[in-house]
Order: sequence, then structure tokens, then C-alpha cells
Amino acid sequence: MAGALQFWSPVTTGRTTGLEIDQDTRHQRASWRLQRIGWAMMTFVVIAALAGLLGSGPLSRSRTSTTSGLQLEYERFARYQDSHRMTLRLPQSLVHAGRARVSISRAFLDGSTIESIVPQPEAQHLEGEWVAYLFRVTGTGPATISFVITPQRIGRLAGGVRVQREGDGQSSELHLVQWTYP
Amino acid sequence: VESVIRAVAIYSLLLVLFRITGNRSLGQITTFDFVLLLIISEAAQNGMVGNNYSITNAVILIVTLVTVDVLLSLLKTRAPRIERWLEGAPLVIVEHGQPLLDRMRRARLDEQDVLAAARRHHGLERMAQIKYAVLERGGDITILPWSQPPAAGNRPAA
Repeated sequence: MAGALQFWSPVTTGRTTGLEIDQDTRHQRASWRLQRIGWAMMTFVVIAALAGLLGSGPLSRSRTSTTSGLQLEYERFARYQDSHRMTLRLPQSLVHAGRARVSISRAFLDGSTIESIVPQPEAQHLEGEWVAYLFRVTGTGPATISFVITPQRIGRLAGGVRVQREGDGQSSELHLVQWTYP
Repeated sequence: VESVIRAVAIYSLLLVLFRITGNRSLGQITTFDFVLLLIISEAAQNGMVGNNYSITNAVILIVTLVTVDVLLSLLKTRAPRIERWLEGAPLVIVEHGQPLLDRMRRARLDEQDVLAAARRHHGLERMAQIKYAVLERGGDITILPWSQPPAAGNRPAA
């Protein structure tokens, strides 16, 4: 290897004479090593971004569900002030008399704003630590509600989604933890 | 508060990135490099400005960037070690007509780059006519020819 040969050549070691220059071989080697580490880190960032570790990607999209069939799809990794979609799928068993009652925990709403809900809820009200949305549901089969959410706080955000059946008060609850990047 | 943090974050990110990628001097950049630079500035701008288009925000950002820059330059004159890390150090890549291949490889240069610089600035024809070639901190190559050109192919005793 040419490098090994050069290493033994007397001119490459130490300071060069005759030239007034601030040359430092040790520093140069250290900075090259650092440069290599930097390249590795840059590659890692690209791969992480592709995988979705930095938000929006296969590793970020996640799904939780309850035994009752309630299902929530959300982004595990979100970005500060960048909207994303959260989708709730509720089975017919949680709908009573054409009404579905979906509550979102106050803690989650404190850290993010809901830009829009499709379909629009018929009514919303406050229930202590929860905000309840009332939807009209017609037809059979599972109902899907999507929320467009913009995180307003950097860091970890935990929250819950609860669906209560109007008649007998039977409820299903899901929890989600979201990490918001700056 | 947020604007200051954004400005400092972007400043340090760019500083680190440009140090890592190894700098090339402005005079040497290609058209493509130039376009790339414009795109980078566009992307960095989004990160800094966010969705705040007020003049106050612009003033805060600009003042912060300039302040950080001035502070760093003060720090650099006080502490040569820091300066070396932030700006790099010059590197001799040709000595007495001998290209130091290992160094050149690590600095991602080849003999053609050195010869091109030698032709451009001094009208030199061969590697042997170069006494020293130095890769400067800014990324350009300085060529120091022999004061009395030696005969071709003859390497004089140092």
C-alpha cells in the first residue's frame, strides 16, 4: 500500500523545515479520524430518516388496538409543528344508536393541536381530564375517524384515546406515546 | 428565545457539517456546488425561520448569527487550538517535488489537482518543479516553485 510506504519516508514525519507553516501531523490525523466518524454519522442520519426514526416512515407508523376491536394508527415519531395524521377505527360494537363517543386525554391535547377531524364531530364537551367528541354513525361496519394533529411541544408526549358506548357505558381505552423532534 | 436557539442550532450544524465534509474554497467550486449551496441555504432557512415571518424574528436571527460569528472569531484568536479544530490546519502535500501520497489520499486530492494548481498559478509543467505544495485551510492549493528550477527529473538533495 502506498500509504504505508509513505509513512516511512522521512519527509512525512514531524514538522517540515524551511517552510514557516503551522502544520501539525497529530492534529491532522485526529481531524481526519473525526471526519470519518462524521461521514459515518451522516450516513446514519440518512438511513434513520429513510427508516422513519426521524418521523414519517415505516418505523414511525405504529398501531395499537384493544381486544374489543378499537384500533389506533399514529406516528410514534413526530416533528415539531409539522402536522401528521392519526386514524381511529372503531368497531360497530362500540357504536350505540348511531352515536359514537370518542374522548382524547387532556394531556395529549395540551401538547398538540388538532387541526381537523374527519368527519366533523356533532358535538364536543369536556369531561374532567378528557375531551369528548360525539360522532353520528350510520351504516354498518367499522367507522374510521381521522385526526390531523400538529405537535406543539418538543419531547415525549403521552396520551389516551377512549371510546365509550352511550347506552351501557362500556368503554375501550388506548394509550399512545409520541416523541416529537425539534 | 426560540429564534435564538434556532439560529444557534443551525449555525453549529452547518459549521460541523462543513468541517466534516472538508472545505473547498469558493474559487474552486463548480456550478453544481454552487447550486447545491443555494439549496442548502434554502433548507436551512426553513429550519431557522419556521412559520414566523415577522421583522422582529428576522432581526433576532441575523443578530444572533452575526454575534455567534464574532464571538467565535474572538475565541479563535485567543485559543489557537480551537481555531485549528474549527478551521483546520494547512497541510504540506508536496515536498521537494515528492507528492506525499498518503496525505493527499486522506485529503481527497490527487496529483492532477496539484499539477492543475501549479499550471494555473505558476505555469509549471512537472511535479519536480514544485518545491512545496500546501493545502491551505480554506481548501485551495498553494504552490511554491523552486527559486531556481532544477533540471528535469533531478531531485536535488534537501
